Amino acid sequence: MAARKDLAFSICMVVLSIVLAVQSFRYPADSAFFPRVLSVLLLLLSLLLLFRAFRRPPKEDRTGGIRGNAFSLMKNQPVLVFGSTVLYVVMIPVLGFLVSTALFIFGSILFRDRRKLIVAAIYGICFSAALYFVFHAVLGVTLPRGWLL
Amino acid sequence: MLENMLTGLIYTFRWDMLLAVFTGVVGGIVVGVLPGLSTTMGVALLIPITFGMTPAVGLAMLGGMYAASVYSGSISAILLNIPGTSSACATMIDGHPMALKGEAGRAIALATIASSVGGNVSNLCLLFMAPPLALLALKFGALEYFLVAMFGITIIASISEKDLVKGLMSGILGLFVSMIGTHQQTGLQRFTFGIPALYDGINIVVVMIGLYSLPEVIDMLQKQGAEKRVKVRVQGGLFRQMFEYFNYKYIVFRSLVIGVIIGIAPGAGGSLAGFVAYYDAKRTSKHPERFGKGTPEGVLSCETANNAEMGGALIPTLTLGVPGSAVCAVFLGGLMIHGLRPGPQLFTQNPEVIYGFIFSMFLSNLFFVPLGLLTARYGSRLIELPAVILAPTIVTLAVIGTFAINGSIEDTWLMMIMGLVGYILNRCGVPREGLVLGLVLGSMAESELARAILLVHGDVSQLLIQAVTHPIALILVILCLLSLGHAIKTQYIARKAPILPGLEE
Repeated sequence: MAARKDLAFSICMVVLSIVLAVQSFRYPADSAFFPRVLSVLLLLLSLLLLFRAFRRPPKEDRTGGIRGNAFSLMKNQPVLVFGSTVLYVVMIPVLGFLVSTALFIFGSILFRDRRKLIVAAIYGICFSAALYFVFHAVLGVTLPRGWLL
Repeated sequence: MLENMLTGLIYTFRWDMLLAVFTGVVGGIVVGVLPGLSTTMGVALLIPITFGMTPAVGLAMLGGMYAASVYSGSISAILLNIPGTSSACATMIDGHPMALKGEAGRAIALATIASSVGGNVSNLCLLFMAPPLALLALKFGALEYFLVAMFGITIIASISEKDLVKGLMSGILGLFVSMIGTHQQTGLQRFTFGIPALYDGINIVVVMIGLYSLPEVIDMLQKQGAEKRVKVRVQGGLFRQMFEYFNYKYIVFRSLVIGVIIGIAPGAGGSLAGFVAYYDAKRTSKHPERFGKGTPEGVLSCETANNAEMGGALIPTLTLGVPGSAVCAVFLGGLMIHGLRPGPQLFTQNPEVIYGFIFSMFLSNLFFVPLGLLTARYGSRLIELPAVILAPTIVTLAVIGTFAINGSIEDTWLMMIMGLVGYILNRCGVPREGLVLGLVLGSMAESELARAILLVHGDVSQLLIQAVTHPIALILVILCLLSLGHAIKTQYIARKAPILPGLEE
């Protein structure tokens, strides 16, 4: 497991370091000494990792946390967290900060625990209002407004 | 210097400073007690909130958050056998067995006084060692500064217990992230890939919030309900039980020294200090067999050391701009956002800020004693706050925090990309600390190297000669080689040596 992950990671890093190296060697020498050296170094390290991943027998995964039910997309926490956050940030300019935050918190809690309807509603409203107050009134940050508020 | 200190001391007792410390400490206790919220994340999320405050007040609040969360991680370690923050990992080994024996109150009382003493003594070291070191830093030339940055990067690799190669890769990635944007010396745009939002470079705090909040949220949600939680009640007079601490002068002294030294070494964090002090206490004890079964020495050694690490870690952070730990790297980001540059001039030009901050750290280390004891006695239900509520809270704070820094939604998207990067790095066993350190040290490393090369008129061989003939440079080169050599030795030659468990931050 760890070896397979290393394999995938090192291949990605080899590709990335080649991209970075190509970019660095295109820049004029004055501004590129540091990135050139580093991209080559990164490439060497990635190749070393790749070589190691091939050679080392696969062993037990110690790095990962406890896996959720990966077979179900709806229970896949990484997908859920990033997906809902993207949705939330997209909503902000449309609905405004206050409304989208309240909805995001309400939705996130309710989606994971159906029984917490009241908690989700109260917490969603109170927390987003408190945040709005702290950032807008106390700290003077202009928060995005949308159709509603 | 004395006059500057006095200015700072008086400044600390302004009502807004006191309020900031208090608020920071309360926030820090919440962050520390709740498993899944790390110190690094707490400090990173707090930075945007301190943005509108004066630098001294903002830093005092960040310091309160830092000190209190390092301490209060021990409360959940003792009561629940889950470290509230990674620096409490070693506290768990004896803290929880003590709680199971019905000595939860004793363990918490000792952890509290240990943290307070550790924090205050190391803060004294900070107060008296930082200014002379800052003066020494005045003697540093471009080459020395470059070598200091290199030392910071090599040491993160050497203590990244997981993997030397991955640690170095992470550091290099951080250096590349720091290069995004307009090149200082030539004005060339590098690695922006034509995206206008990247022209001005990437804000360090945005990266840190992304790296340390979203991966934690995912981790927290995946782990919920998976741990068996044994709930223990706190009994006995907590305040009275604190005095037992002073019976262990020998261990306390050793732990203090260990904590401060590990703190000063760039890159090493509080969890390492805790573990080293713990194993040292065990090694020098007359009853090593009692360790792991609930002995008070185990708890107080690592709690003394992990708070003592803090003051030590701030020394290179404030004087050289080389963070002593990942939290300090975030702290440095906070410093820069307030327009302050670490280094000698910080101590002479802004005495009320820097000394005000150092004195406010003494207050933080005192404030958390009553607040922490109250939390342990009455507020331990806080630990049971479900992940489903915490998770959207953290995401919201991360989103609004990154937006607040520059008022741009692009920063929020960037934060999410960094969150994804952080998650992938975590899954692949690559330490995120390397990236953070590389990012912080990147611009310093590059511009100082460019300046050093300019000073020798482009003759690199001259630079190599300087590196071995100038005494400070030579010491730094030796330190770099030692830290790399140590890493290679521990990871490739002595592979059979057991890796310390749970060292993650």
